[in-house]
Amino acid sequence: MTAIDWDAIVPHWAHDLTVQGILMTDTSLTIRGWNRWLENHSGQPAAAVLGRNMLDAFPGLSERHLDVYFRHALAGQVSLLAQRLHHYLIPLPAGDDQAMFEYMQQSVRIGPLLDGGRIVGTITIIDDVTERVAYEEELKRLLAQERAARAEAEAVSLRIARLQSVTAALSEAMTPDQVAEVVVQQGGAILGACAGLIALVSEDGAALEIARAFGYSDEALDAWRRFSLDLPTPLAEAVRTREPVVLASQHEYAQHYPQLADQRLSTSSGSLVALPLLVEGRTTGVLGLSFARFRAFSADEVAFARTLAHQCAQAFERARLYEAERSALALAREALKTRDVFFSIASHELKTPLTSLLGNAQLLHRRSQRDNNLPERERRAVGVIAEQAARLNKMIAALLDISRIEMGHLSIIPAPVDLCALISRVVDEVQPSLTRHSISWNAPAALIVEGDELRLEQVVQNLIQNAIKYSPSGGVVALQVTRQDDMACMVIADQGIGIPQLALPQLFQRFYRADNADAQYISGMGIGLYVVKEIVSLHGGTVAVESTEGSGSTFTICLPLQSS
Amino acid sequence: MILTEQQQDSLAEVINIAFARTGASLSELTGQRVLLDVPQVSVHPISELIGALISFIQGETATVHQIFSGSVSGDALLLLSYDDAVMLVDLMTDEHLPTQRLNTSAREVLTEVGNILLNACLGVFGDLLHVHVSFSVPRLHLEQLRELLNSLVIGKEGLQYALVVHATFRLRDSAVSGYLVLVLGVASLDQLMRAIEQLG
Repeated sequence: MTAIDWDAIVPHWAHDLTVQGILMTDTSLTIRGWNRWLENHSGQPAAAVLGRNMLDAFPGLSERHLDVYFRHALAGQVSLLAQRLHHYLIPLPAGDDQAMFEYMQQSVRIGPLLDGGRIVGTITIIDDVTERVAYEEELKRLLAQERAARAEAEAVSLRIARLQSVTAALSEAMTPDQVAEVVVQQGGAILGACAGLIALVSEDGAALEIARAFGYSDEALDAWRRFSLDLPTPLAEAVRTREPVVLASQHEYAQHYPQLADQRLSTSSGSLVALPLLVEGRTTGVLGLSFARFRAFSADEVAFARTLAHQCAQAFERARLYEAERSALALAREALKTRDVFFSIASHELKTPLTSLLGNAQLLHRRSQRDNNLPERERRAVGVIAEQAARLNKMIAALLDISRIEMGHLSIIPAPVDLCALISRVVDEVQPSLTRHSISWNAPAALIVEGDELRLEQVVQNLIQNAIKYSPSGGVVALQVTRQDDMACMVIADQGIGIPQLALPQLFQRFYRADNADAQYISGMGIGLYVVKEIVSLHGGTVAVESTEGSGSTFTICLPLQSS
Repeated sequence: MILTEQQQDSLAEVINIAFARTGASLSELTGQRVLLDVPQVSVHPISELIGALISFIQGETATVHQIFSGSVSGDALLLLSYDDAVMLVDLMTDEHLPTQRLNTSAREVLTEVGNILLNACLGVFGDLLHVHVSFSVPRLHLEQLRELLNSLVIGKEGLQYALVVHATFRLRDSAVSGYLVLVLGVASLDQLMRAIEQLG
């Protein structure tokens, strides 16, 4: 074997190379080449390592099973040593990236050193890849960060979407029971709860009563159906403190509620979250959610739970008000119905004796006038009896009309009616009894409508009597009938006290009376206009009113003309 | 050239020795138990190679390529689909954050794994043939496989054969499959087959 000129194998410039480490050994792994790069990075001059056995100089190689690559090289194989698998071949300082890596990160190739086709040793090329790896790590970290941020954003948007779906479901829940179901079932499911309940503060404010629960055993629920607010339980505490109670671990549970260790509400033994239900500063109850296992809750989850509880409290309040409203309405309807029945019965019962009373009083009155056999005082008294009985009769008739209308019994028997002739007759009847009022009356020859003559007469009577009644200081009541397209319209205007603007919309409601009528001591039951409107409506007509308080009112009634 | 059943079995046996060595090397390297399944072996004329790997050829591939020379010479390739290559690197390096792309460090790992496998196979063949085989530095190609395979044929004289071995790495309860392909001239393949027959 000829001696090998090691310096000649690698050209001189490669020896001076400062970008890669070049290390050579002979077949016995004695170090024969150690270039400038290695000198610079290891701090060891070539003279200090040349001639030493590679495995003795770097004992780590055998320990880390890297000696095998040198043996492979001696067998003719080229090997590549990846940084990520080996990190480094020989330990060298990491330079600028020392904070991140203990040693310089290396990418290494080891192969046979050939001299004329004969393997005379090994050659190792070392690349410093520390900077690259640091960059890759940084990139990976950023990527992981970005992924985490995206995952978080997705989780948040998912929770928002779920919250929206809960909100939508809540907006449709009308009863407290429905609200509780939506919150406990859907809200609980979103947070991953295995059981949930809503307990409401009792009316006396001393206890919590379970309104709705799912996932708990019957025994547990029976034991906790109602419990004092003073009890040291998470649910009661949430109500008392008006703050959520979150028990994330066994330790927290045992620490805060040691006495509850064996009487837990949950069918399982995990975390518990209790959220107060607050409405306008009042605590109305508590939402409790139980979990199968102990788990921590992120700030975001707690915020979500709070929002859920807030929504729940609002929906509960709304449902409660809705129910209260509904039952109040039902009560009012019931009361109205009772009153109508009473009116109907009372009017009919009153009518019978009154008819007899009125008949006899009128008989007596007429006889006393005809025979002149009673002293003046008695005769006036009989007159008053007859007059007041007639008045009472009218009032009872009006009440009867109302109950007929309410029960849908007011019927119209239609026949052709000449509205002008009808009004003229009523005016003729009323005119003689007037002292302070005069009626001006203006109408065409005839206007025929399809209607119930008796009922229409009642309408005209009512309006004329009202015009007279509500102009106590007298004056002209102007009556005019005109034809407007296919309608016959009657306009009746007085110069009376008028109607306040605010009262106009309610004017045709039954038993409604404008304030100024009472103020002027004008009696009435608030029935007349209601009956007028109902009768006109049954005829397919309309009623309108215009009025200025203090200067009179104008009522307009339009009825469809008989179709020719 | 069509292998007899017996030839195929013998060849599989020899490659299995190389795979066992590779498994041992990778296990030592990663500290994980790495196994390579008993391989399936087939031989195709190079012109039919693309057809044999057609399902594989569709997507992006990662190929570790090493040229060997000596009494027998040719090209040795480890082919992995891109996704499998990523997965193999993650499994080898126990990455907690799965990567989706192969960065430079990951490519190095892949090259080293291919290097070990190819060296083991060629080493076994060299031992078998009592010839010395020397290898070039392994290179990783991330390109369309078709182009790479075409480049292997161009400029070569004589009939070329491809020895195709389906290889499956098993580690950490996962499996990653790829192909080991040796492209040989007809003389090299003949020599190899004769040596293998003498074994039996």
